[in-house]
Amino acid sequence: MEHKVHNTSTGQEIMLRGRFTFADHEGFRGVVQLMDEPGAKRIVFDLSGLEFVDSAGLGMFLIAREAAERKKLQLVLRGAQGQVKRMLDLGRFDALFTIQD
Amino acid sequence: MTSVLDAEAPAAGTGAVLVMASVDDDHLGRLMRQPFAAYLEAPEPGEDHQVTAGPRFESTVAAGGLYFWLTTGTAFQLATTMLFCDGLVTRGAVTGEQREGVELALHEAVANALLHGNLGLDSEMRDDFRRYAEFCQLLDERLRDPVRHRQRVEIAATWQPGFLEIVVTDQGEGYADAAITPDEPEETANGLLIHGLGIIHALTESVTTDADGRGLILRFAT
Repeated sequence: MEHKVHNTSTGQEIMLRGRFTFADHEGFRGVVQLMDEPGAKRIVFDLSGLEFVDSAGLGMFLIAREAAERKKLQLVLRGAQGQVKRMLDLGRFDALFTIQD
Repeated sequence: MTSVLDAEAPAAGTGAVLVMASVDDDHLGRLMRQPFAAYLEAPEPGEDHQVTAGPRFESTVAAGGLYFWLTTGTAFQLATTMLFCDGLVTRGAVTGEQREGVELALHEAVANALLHGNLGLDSEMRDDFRRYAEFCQLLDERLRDPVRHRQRVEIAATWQPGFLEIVVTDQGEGYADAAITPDEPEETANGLLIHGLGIIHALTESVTTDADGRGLILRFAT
């Protein structure tokens, strides 16, 4: 998985690309640490470039959710398609996250 | 059966075996389109220099199946299950439409084999926000451990019309019988989470373990 960060007026938009799997824990730890930066109110994960996610990837979104809650940040998952969208549906993530098309 | 040390295209149906010294996703992706029956990672420096394979090697090649024998370090770095499924589609074992479910189930089985089997990591630590940094550090340490890094994972697929079987075997302590019982999505410290074995059960016709508990046998109707 590769990620790219864009600063916005309300926080950060993080674009994830490729396959988000059990092999990405170390890289995603750095993404979670972005939430420690002061001033942010909203974090958006842009998933439109993500091709595949496994159960570990879903678990990492839940880690990010808990980090965001502790910092009182709004967390949005945007643009999931194909297998990634089906996995979010399977995990009933709409009950846990703000999901946007 | 032929053994080669470089990527020479074999004739189809000869049971040719490829021994790989080092490989990346692009290289192995090209090699998967050639009709090798087995892809064996050569021993690393410091290992016994004899090329070995796992328990299902001969039966898989004899049955005209597809076989991987990789170190934990390599299987962790490569898009292993994507490449294996490329091979299954190329060989006609699954259709493009069937591939997504097979790949996800296989991926979860390989993740369990690597993380919990060969690297001996605990999924409860992984799913706990308060212990996530500790989990990442331990994962890094285990991947750098030369003994664990070299432990192998075996992926062996055989098929007939309407049926596909894939066996994923690691060199860890093995599954307890209760661990593969079908389960519902479970509540963890982080909230609702899909369990890898729950996904496997949902996508396969059956899931069992082999005699010593180190092999997970996935059966699919195709």
